[in-house]
Amino acid sequence: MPAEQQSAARMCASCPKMCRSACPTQAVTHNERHQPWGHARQVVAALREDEGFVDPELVDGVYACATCSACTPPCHVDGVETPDLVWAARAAVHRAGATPAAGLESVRQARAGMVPSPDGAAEMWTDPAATLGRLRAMATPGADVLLFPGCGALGRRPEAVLAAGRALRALGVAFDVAVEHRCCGMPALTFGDEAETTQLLSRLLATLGAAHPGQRVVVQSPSCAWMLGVRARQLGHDTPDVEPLVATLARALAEHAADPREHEARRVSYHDPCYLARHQDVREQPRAALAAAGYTVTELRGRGDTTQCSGQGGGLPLTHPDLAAGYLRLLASQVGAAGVDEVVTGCASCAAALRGAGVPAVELAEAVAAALGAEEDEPR
Amino acid sequence: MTATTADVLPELRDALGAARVSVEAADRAAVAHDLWPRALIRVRQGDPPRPPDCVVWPQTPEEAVAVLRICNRAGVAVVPFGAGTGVCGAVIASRGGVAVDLKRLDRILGWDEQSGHVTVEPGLLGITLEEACLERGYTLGHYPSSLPVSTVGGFVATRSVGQLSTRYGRIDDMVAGMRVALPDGTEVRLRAQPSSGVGPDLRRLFLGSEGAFGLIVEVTLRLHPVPEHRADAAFRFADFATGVAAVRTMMQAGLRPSLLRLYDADDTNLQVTHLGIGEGGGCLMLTSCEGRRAVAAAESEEIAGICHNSGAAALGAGPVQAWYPRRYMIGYQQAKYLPMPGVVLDTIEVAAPWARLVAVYDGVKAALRQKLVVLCHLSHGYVDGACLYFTFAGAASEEAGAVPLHEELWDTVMAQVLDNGGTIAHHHGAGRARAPYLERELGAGGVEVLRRLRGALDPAGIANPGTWGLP
Repeated sequence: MPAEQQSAARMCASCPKMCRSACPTQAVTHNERHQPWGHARQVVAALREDEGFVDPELVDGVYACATCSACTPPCHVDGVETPDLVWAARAAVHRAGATPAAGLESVRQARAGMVPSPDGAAEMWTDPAATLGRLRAMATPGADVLLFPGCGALGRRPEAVLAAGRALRALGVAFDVAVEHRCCGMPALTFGDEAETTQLLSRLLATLGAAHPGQRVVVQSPSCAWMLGVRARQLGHDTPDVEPLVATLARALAEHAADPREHEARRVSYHDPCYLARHQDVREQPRAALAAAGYTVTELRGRGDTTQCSGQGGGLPLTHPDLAAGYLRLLASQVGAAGVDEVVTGCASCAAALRGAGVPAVELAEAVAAALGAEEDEPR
Repeated sequence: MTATTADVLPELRDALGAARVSVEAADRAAVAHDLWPRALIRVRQGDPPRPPDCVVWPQTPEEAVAVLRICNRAGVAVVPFGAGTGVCGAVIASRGGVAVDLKRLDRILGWDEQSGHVTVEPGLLGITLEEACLERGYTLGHYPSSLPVSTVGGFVATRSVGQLSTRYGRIDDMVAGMRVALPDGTEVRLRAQPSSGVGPDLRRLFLGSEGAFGLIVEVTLRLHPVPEHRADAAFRFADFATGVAAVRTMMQAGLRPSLLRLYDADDTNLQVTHLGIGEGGGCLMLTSCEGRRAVAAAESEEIAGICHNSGAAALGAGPVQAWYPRRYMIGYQQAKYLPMPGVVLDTIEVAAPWARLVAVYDGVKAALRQKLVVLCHLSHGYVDGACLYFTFAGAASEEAGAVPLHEELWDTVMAQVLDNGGTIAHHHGAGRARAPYLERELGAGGVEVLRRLRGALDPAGIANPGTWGLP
C-alpha cells in the first residue's frame, strides 16, 4: 500500500470510532469490526504480516463497504479519506491474488462492454446494444452534448436511459451518443485492479476525446460521472467537460420554463445517491429539477451528507448481498416513513434496487420525462 | 479457546442462531479492548490484550438472559460490550470467555411524556437517543464528548457525566428505573420512580457496576424540555485559583449554569487557537445558562457579576459559541498522534472538595510538568467541589518505554490526588486502569464490600472478571 494510505489506516484505527453512527455497515451488522475503524485495524494488522492481504477475514472486511463515503463528513482527521483507504486496501488484496471471484468476473464483463442485469444478479450480464440503439434513434450526431449513460443505468434500468433521451429532447437539448458503450473503469477500481482501471479509463477517455472533441459529456450513472469528472483528474488524465445528467436536466428545466402536466405521483421524496451527493456535492440541482417539473419534495430523514446508501456501490451486491439488502432495508424504511407516492433518485441502480424491494421508485430522468409528457420514444 | 467456552458454543448457537455467535479472529479482536490508552499502546506495539473466545449478539433481553444462564452453568466468563469507547479497560476479557455485544439491543421501548421518561435498551447510541428526544421537544441533557459514538448502557455502566452536568446532573441523576439480568440470569426490575425510600437505592448498586453485577438490559431515563433560551458568556481570569474561587461562589449561591468550564493557563493557550479568540494568557471560562428565558438571563447576569467581582474580563458569547461545534472533537487529536512511536496520550478526571481542589491541581501539575504536557480544566461543578479534567501528552524516547511511561503517569496522578484529598475518578469509571488504586480510594473495608457484593450476586464469578481487580 502507498505510504500515505498506510498512515491513513493507522490514524483511522487510532480514532475513537467517531464515524460509527454514520456507517451503514455498522448499522446493519452491529459488529464492532464492521466500521471504518475496524476495517482500518484489520489493514494495520495485515501490514504486519507477510500474507496479511490474503487473509479471508481481512478480505471480508475491506469488501464489507459500499464506498458510500457516509463516514467522510464526520471525519476530521487530516490525511484520512476512507474510500481512498478502502480502494488502496482492495488493491493490496488484488496484488496478493485474493480478489473475490465475483469481482474478477465483474471486471472481465466490464472490459467486454457488458453491463449488469436489471436485478443486479452476479451471474447475469447483458449487452446494452439494444438500449443504445433506441437511444441513438433520438440522438443528433455531432451535438454539443454527448450523453453517456454508464453501465449502471444501461444495465440496471434501461428505462431510465431512454427517459433521459426523451427528457432532453423535450427540453430542447440536442445530444449525441457514443458509437459503442465502453466502461469507465469503476468496476476495476472497485475490485482493486489498478492497472485495469487505468486501461479502461484511458480507453474511454480516448474514445470520447477523439470522436467528440469539445463536447460536454453528460453522464447519467453517478459513479461514472465521478470517475470521469473527478477520479480521472486525480489519476492524472486529461478529461473532457463532464457534467452529471441531473445537473443538465436542472439547468434545462430552469431555462425551458416548461409547463409540467398533471400526473399521478406529485408527492415524492428525493434520494441522494452517494456518488452524487457526497462524492460530487451534487445536491441542489436534482431538487431544483423536481420542483421545476412540478413535484413537491418531502425530504427523507437522511439527505445530503447523511443520505442512506442503497447498498449498490462498492461491489457490495456481488460480495455481500445480505449486507447490501440490509442497506436497502434502511433506505426503504426512510421512504416508508416519509409517506410519499414515489421516491425519485439520481441513480438508476438505486431506483432499480428500491423497485426490487417493492418501493415505488424512478430515476430522475424518468420523473422529468413523465412531467413533460415525454413518455414515448420520439425518434428525431 | 478454553475448553469451557468451546463447550457452550452449541448452546449459544441454539439460543441465538449461528449467525449471532462468532469465533472469527477479527470479530473477537475488535472487542478485545476499549479505548484505554494502555491497551491502545499495546495494540500499536502488536501486542493487543487477549480477546474473548467468542462474541455473541443477543437482540432481546431474553436472549441476553439466556446467554448468562448458559455461561453461568458452565462457569464461562461474560464480558459486556457496548461501543467500546470506555477509557479505563473495563471490557478486557482477562479470562477469555464470551463477549456479549449489546448493540442489537437498541430499541426505544416507550415514552411517558407526562412524567418525562423514556425507556430504552442499552445498545442504543447516545446520539440516536438525543436526536429522538429533540424530535419530541426534549433533551436528555447528557452530552459526554463521546455522545456520537457511545451507548446508553455504557453511560450507566460507567456512571458517565456530560458536558452540561452542572445543570442536568450525571447519568446517575437521570436514571429513573432499570432492568438488570444478574450473572445467573435472575431478572431485577427496578421500576421508574421519581424517588423511593425503600432500603438502599438498588439503582445505585448497578450504576457504575461495569458488568461485574450482570447485564443492564433496559433503562428508563428522565427527560427535560428543550430549553427556551440559552445565554452564553466567556470570561478571562488572572489565574486558575481565582477562577476556581469564582466557580465555588456560583455553586454555593445555587447557580447552575449548564456549561461551566474553566481552563488553566496551559489549556487556555490551546483553546484560544481552537476557539479563535485571539491571544492567550490568563484562564478562560466558558459558561451557558439555559431554561426559561427570564431565568436563564438572570442566572447569566449573576454569573457575570461574580466574574466581574473576581476581576475577570468579559469576552462575550463568541468563544462559547465557537466551542459548541467543537464539543465532540477531542477524539480526532488522538487519531493524529497515537500512531506515533513512543507517544502517550491520556485524560484523567478526578474530583475534590473545594477545600482540596487547588492542592490536587497543583500537586498533579507539579509532579508531571517536567515529563509531559499537562493541561487541565475544571468542569462539572457541585455545591461542595468540582471535577478536574487533566489531559496528558508526551512521548517516551523509544517505543518500549511507552507503557512504563503510561504506568508512571497513572501512579503519579493517583498518588497526588489521594495524597491531596481528592477522589481518583469522576466519570470514566474504574475498570482495570484504577484497580491498583481502589484500596487507597475506598479503604480495605470499601473494597471488601465490593468483593462480598460480587460474591453474593455472582457466586460463579463469571461477570466481567478482572474489572476493579476482582477475580
